[in-house]
Amino acid sequence: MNVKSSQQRRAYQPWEDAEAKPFIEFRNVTKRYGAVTAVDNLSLSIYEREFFALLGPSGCGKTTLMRMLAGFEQITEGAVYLAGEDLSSTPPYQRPVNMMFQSYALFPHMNVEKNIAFGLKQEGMPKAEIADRVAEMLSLVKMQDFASRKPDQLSGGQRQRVALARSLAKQPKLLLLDEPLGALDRKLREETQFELVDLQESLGITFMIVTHDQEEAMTVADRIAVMEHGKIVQVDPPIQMYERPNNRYVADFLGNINLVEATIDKISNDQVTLATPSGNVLKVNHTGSGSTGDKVWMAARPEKLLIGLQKPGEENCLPGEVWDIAYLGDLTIYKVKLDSGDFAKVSVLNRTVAETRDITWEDQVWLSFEPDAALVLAS
Amino acid sequence: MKRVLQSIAARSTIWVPYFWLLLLFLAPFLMVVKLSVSEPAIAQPPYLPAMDFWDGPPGWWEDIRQFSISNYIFIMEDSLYWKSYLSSLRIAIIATSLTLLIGYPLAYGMARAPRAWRPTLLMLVILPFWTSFLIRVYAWIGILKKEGLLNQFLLWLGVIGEPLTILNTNIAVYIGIVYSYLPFMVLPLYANLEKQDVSLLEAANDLGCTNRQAFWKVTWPLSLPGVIAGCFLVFIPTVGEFVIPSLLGGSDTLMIGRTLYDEFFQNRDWPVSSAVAVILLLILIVPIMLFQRSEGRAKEREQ
Repeated sequence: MNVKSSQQRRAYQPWEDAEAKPFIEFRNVTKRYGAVTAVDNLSLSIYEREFFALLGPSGCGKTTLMRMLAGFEQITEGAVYLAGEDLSSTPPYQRPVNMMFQSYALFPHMNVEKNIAFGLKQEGMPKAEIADRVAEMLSLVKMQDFASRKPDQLSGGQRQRVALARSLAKQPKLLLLDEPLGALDRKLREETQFELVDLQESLGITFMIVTHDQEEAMTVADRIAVMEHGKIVQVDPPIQMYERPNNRYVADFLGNINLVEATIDKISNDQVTLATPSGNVLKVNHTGSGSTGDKVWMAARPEKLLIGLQKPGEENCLPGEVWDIAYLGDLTIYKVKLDSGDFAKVSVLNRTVAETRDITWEDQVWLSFEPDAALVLAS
Repeated sequence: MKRVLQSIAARSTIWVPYFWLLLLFLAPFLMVVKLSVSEPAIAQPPYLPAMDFWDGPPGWWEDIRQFSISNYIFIMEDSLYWKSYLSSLRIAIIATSLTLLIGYPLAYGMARAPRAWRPTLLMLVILPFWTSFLIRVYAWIGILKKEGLLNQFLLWLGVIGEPLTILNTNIAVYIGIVYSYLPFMVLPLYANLEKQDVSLLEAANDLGCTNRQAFWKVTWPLSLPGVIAGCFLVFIPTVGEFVIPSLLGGSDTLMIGRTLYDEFFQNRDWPVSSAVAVILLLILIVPIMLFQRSEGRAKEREQ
């Protein structure tokens, strides 16, 4: 098995390489259920050894897209290619693809060992080899001591591990994970996310995960596709996705973002000057799209805003009143009512041990930001 | 004090089913057992000893001393009885298998039907119960007899040249049993199959099973509790079935229920027919008890 070092991993960006051949390719894929279009003329390329996440709210078509790869959904129009081959006429049981189900779908009448061996037996692998592979899989997911237990004698986390081992046992070229951690509690989920990443790196298998949890997607994935209404809105690595969202939907779906309505006043090489209706001047180092006079949204993440009682300068300042304060321990979140009537959130890292903070309810405050801390999004 | 009363009340709810069993199963059964060790007599009631409750313990003892197992010996020695038992078991086994063969696909289809249809389909299975069992069996006479609907239909189709003799044969008995007991097979199977997680089949598919293989490796083993429950529900009443063989069966259809009836009403030999009933009960109960014990042990071994 191919072990990538973390150095190699950082450089692994096949989507940047024009020469790289996609491992999975959706070409103009459409899926309709009667009058409902679940996937709408969608094209997408995924590369070998990538950890790819499909992210979106429920009903956005992400699960349908994944089930097409497994072969559980017939494609209405278009085609899916795996390693250059059209998958349309390959039944699920002949695809080099395995899936880990959201419900785990462990066979309740078989013990852990038999569950893991199921696919191998089906393949006709010799018994001795099956035993070796099962042992290998059990140690991979650290479940050696539970080989003879039945699924109903396992905890949720243990079941999740068995399901993972079973789906990896056949050494698929592509592993599909359908909300694999949805049933686990928060702590366990966070631990397992990192384990999944390590596992994927050490096995060198392409992973595709479906999730509605943006943190999960950002933790595990090399690239994320955000979906809405059967279409892909943006495909990018987590950093670009978070820092440079293409539009309001993505910006809002991944984390929190504050939006301020403004008009483009001037566009220079790398800076846009905006004017808010109440006359504040905002300078942003992100041209986005649009021309002078357009109405746009100035967008800034809560952690990129500064909050203070004094006006820090002439530009990039917005006055407001503290409406609400949420103390989260590591962060304090201020909800500020701007003079436009909109609310903005500012998160401040609590750097000192203090029982009271300077800023309190109903204070008149100033929000400010650096020109490279905000974005311009089309209206 | 209140607590004590409450705990008595709580326990009494557990005792209700036991009391029910005692009153409606054990007491009649003991009466039958007692009858089976009595002697037939031309009297009212037609057996001795009559056992009068008002005789008191000495009188009861006198009666008990008259008990004998001669009826059982008589049954063992006369080939009619064990032939009836064997024939009943054979017919019940074949009929149960046929019911399973028809009931399983039916239940499977129902469980996989669109959710909105399922209550209607279930209703259709239960619907025949709304008509008297006896009337439904009589209706089969009209269908199966020489000039009946089935023969007329087959003649009209041209499949057969002359009417078939179905009524008063074992085939008619099988048809009658399968028809009458099908719901008892379908309902437990449906309850089991409907609960099964469809994603298990997808998982089997995903791991290399064709749909057929997935059925035999996943659906079938998981449905075994339903299969066993359905088979018991059909098999047990079928062994002692009386109405269907006497209405649809021929003179050569030997079933213990009929033998018992004849013994009771034709020969007026209550003690022998009671002995027949006791042996029937043992034949049915012993295998079930053994089965349940082995099941219980298998479960213990797993844990």
